[in-house]
Amino acid sequence: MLSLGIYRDGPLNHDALAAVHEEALRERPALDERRQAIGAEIIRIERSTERCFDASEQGQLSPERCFDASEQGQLSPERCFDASEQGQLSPERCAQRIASLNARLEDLRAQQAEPTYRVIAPDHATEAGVVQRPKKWAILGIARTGRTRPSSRAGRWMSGRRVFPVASWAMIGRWQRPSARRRIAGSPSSTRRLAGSARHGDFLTGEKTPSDVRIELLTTVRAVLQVGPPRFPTSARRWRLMHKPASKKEVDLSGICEARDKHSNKLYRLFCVIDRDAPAHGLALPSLVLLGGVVKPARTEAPQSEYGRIDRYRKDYQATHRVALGRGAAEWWPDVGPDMS
Amino acid sequence: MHKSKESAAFAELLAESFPTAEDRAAHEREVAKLVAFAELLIVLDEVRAGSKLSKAELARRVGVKPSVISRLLDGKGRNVQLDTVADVADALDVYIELRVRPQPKGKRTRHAPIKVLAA
Repeated sequence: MLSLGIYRDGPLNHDALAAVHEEALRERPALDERRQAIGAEIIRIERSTERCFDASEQGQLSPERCFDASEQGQLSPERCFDASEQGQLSPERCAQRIASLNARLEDLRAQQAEPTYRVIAPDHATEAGVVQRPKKWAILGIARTGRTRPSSRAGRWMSGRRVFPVASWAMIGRWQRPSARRRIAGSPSSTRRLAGSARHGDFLTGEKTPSDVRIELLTTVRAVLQVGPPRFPTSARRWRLMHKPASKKEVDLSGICEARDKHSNKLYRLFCVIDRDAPAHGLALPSLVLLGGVVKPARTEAPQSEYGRIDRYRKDYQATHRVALGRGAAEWWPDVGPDMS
Repeated sequence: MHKSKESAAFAELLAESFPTAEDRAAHEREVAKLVAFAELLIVLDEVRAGSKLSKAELARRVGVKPSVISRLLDGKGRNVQLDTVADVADALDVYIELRVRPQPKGKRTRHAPIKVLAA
C-alpha cells in the first residue's frame, strides 16, 4: 500500500528535482549579486570597526558622532580626528559598538559561507510547493446515540455527547428493526422478516453483523480512500453510487455511495457521502463520511424509512457539520493540527 | 494513488476489528489487492480514454462482447482475468509488465502482494 504510493510518486519526485534545478539556475544571478553585496558590507563594517579602534586608542572621539557615523557607514579618519578635537570617547560605548559590529560581521560571514545552491530532497521540494501531490482523502465517522431527539437539528447534533468519534463508532448505522413482520416493498406476495433482529444492534460492530462482513466493508472503504473516491469505479460490485429513484415515493439517496457485501443470503449496505468541500469547512482534507448501514434479505428492498434515516443523517451532516467540527474537530483529528478547528 | 488519513475513531475501529497483528496484516493485504486491481483498471481506462477509443470499439478490437469490456473497466467483475486484461492492453497498444519478486527477508515489513505502477 505504502510502496504503491512510493512507486507512483517516483516520476513526481524526478519532476520535482528537475524543477528545483531549473529554478536554481534561474535564480543564480540574483544570488551572486546578493553574495557580492554581503561581501561589500563585510568590508565596510571591518573598516568601521578599525576606525573605532583607532579612535578609542586616541581617547578623543565623541561617542554620539561615533555612533551616528558608524551606523550610517560614513565614519572616516578625518571625522574621527575632528571628534577627537571636540570631545571625549567613552571606552564602554566604543566597546559596545564594536561588539555589535562584530556580531553583524559574524552574521554576514555566515551568510556568505552558506552554500548558494542546495539539492532539495523530494519531500522538501514537495513542501516548497514544487510538487502538487494528489489530493488526500480522509475518513470521518458520524456517530449519534439516538436516544433522545431535541427539537432543532443543531440541538440534536450538539446536545450531550452526540458527536464523538471514540468508541461511538459502534453506534454508526444503528438500525432498529421494526417489531412486527412487515411487507417488503418489491415483493408483495411475501412477508419476510427483516434481518438485524437486535433491537438496538449496531451496524458494524453489532453482534448481528458478522465479522466477515465488517472486514469486507472496511476493506472496501479503505481501498476507496487509497484510490481516491472520485477515481474508484462507482458501479463496482463493492462500491456503488446511488442514483435518483425511479419513483417520487422513494427516498432520494442520489449522491450517496454505498459499500456492499453479501453474507448468508443477507445484503449489507454501508452508506457514505463524499464531502469534497470539507476543507472549506475547516477540515484539512476532503472527507468520506460514514452515515449508516442497512441490512436486508437478498432480493428485497429495505423499507423507505430506513433510506429516509440515511438521508436524514446526510442532511444533518450537511446542515450542522460546521458547528460540529468547530466543537469536536480536535477529537476527530487529533493529529492534524489547529487548522482543523 | 491518493494518500488517506484516517480519523482516530476509525483507527480505533480498525484496532477493534483486527485485534492481532496477523489479522491486521491479512486485512492490509486484502486492501492492497483491491487497490491494485482498481488502479490497474483505472489506468487501462485512462489509456483508453486518452486514445479516444470507445468501449465498444475496444471490445471489437479485443474480440469480445462490449459488456465484457464494460464490466471489466467498471469493476463489476468478481475476478479479473489476466488473459482479458492482457488482451485489452494489447488492443490499447500498451503492455503490462509483471515481475515476481521475493519478499525481503529479515525485515518486519512486507511488501503488498501486488503493486501497480503508473503508466
